[in-house]
Amino acid sequence: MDEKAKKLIAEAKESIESAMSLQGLEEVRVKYLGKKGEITQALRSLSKYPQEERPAIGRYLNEARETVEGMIEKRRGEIAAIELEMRLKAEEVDVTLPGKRPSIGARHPISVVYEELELIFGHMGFQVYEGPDVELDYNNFEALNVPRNHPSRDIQDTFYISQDLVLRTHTTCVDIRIMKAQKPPIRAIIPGKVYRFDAVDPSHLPVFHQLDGLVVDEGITFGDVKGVLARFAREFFGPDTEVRFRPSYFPFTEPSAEMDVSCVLCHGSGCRLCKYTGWLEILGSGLLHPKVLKEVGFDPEDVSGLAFGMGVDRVSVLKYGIEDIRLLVENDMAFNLQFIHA
Amino acid sequence: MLVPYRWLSQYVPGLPPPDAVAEALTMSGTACESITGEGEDVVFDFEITHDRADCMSIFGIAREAACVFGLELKHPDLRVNEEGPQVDELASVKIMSPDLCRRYMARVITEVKIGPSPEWMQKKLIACGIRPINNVVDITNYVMLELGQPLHAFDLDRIPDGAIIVRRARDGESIVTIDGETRELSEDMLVIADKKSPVAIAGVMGGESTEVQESTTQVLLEAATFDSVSVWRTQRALKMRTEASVRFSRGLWPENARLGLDRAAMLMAELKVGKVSRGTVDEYPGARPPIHIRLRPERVNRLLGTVIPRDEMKLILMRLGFILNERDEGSYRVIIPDHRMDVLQEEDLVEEIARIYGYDKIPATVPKGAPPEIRLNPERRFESKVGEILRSSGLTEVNTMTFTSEAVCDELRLPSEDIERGKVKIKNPISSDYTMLRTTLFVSLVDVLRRNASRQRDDVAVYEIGKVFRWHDPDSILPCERKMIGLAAMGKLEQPNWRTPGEDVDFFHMKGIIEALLEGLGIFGYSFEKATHPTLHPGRTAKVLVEGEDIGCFGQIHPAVREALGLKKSAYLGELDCEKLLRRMSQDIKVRQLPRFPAVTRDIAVVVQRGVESRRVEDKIWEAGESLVESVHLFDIYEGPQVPPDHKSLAYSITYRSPDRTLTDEEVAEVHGRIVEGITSALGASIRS
Repeated sequence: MDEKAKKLIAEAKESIESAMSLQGLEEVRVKYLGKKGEITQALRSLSKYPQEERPAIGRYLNEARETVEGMIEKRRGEIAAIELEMRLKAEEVDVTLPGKRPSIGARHPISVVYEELELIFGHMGFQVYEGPDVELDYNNFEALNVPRNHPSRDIQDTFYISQDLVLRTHTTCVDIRIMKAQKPPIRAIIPGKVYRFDAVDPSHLPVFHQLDGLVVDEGITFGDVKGVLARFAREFFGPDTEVRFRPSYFPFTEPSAEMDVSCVLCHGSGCRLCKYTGWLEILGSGLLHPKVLKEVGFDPEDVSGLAFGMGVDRVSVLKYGIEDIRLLVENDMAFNLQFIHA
Repeated sequence: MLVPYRWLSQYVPGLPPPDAVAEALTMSGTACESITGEGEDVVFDFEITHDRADCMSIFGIAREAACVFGLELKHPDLRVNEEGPQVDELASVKIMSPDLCRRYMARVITEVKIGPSPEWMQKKLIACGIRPINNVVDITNYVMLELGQPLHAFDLDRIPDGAIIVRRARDGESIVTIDGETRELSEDMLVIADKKSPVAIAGVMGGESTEVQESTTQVLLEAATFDSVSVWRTQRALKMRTEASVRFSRGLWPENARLGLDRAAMLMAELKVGKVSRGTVDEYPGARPPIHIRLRPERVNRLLGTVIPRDEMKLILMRLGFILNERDEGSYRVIIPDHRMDVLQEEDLVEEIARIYGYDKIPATVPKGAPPEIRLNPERRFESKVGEILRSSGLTEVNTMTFTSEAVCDELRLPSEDIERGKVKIKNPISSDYTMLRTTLFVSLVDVLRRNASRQRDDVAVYEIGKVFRWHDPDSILPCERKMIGLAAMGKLEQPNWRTPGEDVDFFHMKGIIEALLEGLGIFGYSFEKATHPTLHPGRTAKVLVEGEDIGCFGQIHPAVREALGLKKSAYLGELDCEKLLRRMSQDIKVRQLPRFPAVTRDIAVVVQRGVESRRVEDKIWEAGESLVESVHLFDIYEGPQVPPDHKSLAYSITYRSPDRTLTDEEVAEVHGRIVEGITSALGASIRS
């Protein structure tokens, strides 16, 4: 009997070890431990043995069963590990294949620049205001010290809707609306589309964008014009940006100044972009003209104001190195999609 | 304005080198645009600001340079060698319109010999971009460049009795100008006339009939001060900008007429063009006392944020030609020299002081007062949120011009009666493509689609937040401007991939983008209804309703429009009203309790006639299911042999859940039964098992 049992265990062990799949292992288990399995059968037929041998054989067979069960469990673990490994191997992907990405749209550079400007001036306490594109001649010109039928109108060639209505040539006209509606202190920035009678060419558009700024309070000085705008220039163009202010003329400011920044391309050493001057003209500014203050009912002896205006298209062109301003309105996706990370 | 360095330095002995001149003048307000040439032959191109009529000449620039560098200014030689008869015997001037002519001066040159001007003069004219003609004309041009005073030379023999009349033109009058063109004149134009008819358009151009010729022997030289507005209007009306009219339009001062006339007469004599007769005709109805302005040095510093000493202010102004008298309370009475017509109030003097003192020396400060309370602009916040949501749906932002044209409106089949009522038209359009403002973003968006398609890009998905313009109310002064969200998509929304070929955009993509937008804005009470729009496919257009209000529409571009536009792929357009959406936008969130009891899902396939809108089935499910229905999800639509002809099967997955208990099978079966009952009885539907 011993011999027979030993042989049974040895056979089982061999079958277990040669099983290469969970299914094969299960067959081995059934063969030995299943309802009709050899060890199970042997245990069932204990009665065939003499009474006195039964306990020893029974114990022996039970041990054999436990041994075989143990071996099967162990083997099951081994096979599972192998099978997992094989499955993982089979599931391997080419990580260099292109991903399936959700499509995401890009912002237009004009609105990227607007947002940045609004943030910079917002931190200085400026609030955003807007106004109509079709504006009264009065707000666009007359209240800003540009009388009707006056040669100074030549400065800004204008689209007319009617005798009294123009397409605004600057968002400065909203200054008038704000000042007529509010008392100082005022700090406002005014984004928006503006219109000039210019044909479309690489550096002109008849419709473009402006950001105007307005501060009215007691004791606003020309030094404040410089301070506010220099801070903007450093935040927008970078901390090393230099600025200079040149005397200029705008009908609605006195004194008036043009602000130049050190060239974004050559940093002042001179290049094609800055026409070898080292400087780029960025914006017009100045203290509000006393006639404008009086027009909106403020007394120039009590309050003063500063105003500035910049072309957002021009600023974008400089910031992003856009060679032809028409790209800003053509909306060729090959251009617009370059701003996906803006 | 072109200014040769050599010529400039004649009036400012010791003038620093060209680079230094360009820099110093730029920083004091006379911007040097470019420098050409080498060494002494350098020519500056200055941009003269519109207010500085006094700088429209070499001498004017010299006056600035002398002041900026603190150098002496040398005046041109004005000593005229007069001989022969008195001018009064040869010519007379009568000003009939003193409102348009402040001063009219004239001299007469006799025994004129027309010939070329000397080489030095011709060189200077050429350097400034003016073509030499003959000695008389060249001298008038030379003096105009030198002093900024336009002059005109008439052939005196061709003016009967030498009688000059300065008057308004009569309606119907015309003149042939020296360029050979016939000009129709009107009553608001000022002319120089003989006893019968005009011989020159004042300040703009002379007439052919009195032009100086080879045979001319007597010349009448005119130096006048015409009204700037009048000359400006005339040059605009006649579309003729001349060197003279540009200068008159900016404004001239009467004293300059005298300087210009004497300088020209002096040159005529010196260059032996002829004999300058004695005396000057001087009609001067517009003489005015000089302007004076109170200057408070303390206010100058207050406005500039500086501590410039009063003596320094005084010195700066005196160097600029202002005359200062001390007044009480520490202020000055400043007399304005007549060439500074731009200085009219104290603030103008503040700028004069600041620009010569140096803008760069003024300390940069920040406004001292507390800023006003800031309120975030709700519109900008809304727009930025809209952009964020649409970009995450794959749409790229575009920026278009607000102009459009009748032709584009026709292409989009926008009805013409709408054009008559709705369009804001431009009186002076720059081209036939930009004749009016758009009434819908569609006109701009199709342009974007078309341009990209023409550049071999047929997959485009874009949005724009922009204004449209209409006259809603004919009595309002301003047109109505509305900001709209425009959507356009064509071709594939997602780039084809090795895993998925990618689908072309269809109605439901567009609808999904709008739904995602609305929900991202916190707007949930929306619905869609079949609609029509002239540009869109009649069977594939919907309007978007929020709480019953129409907030916009979208749909497929009408095939006829698409063909007209030359688009290969079908495209979709949408437009939503910003203000209506902003009003309903909500960013308030009150968190609901998470579900605590399990949900049960049952599917149902409803067979209805093809024309029945799915929304009606869904509404029935919600209605019959009462509060136990948590969600309804349409997961399949089937038309084919398994359902009767002209019918469709809509398969829904309905999720049931109760907030306060676990639903039993019986409860779910009951409510599901009610739904089946509701749908079949109300819609004549059957349930597919």
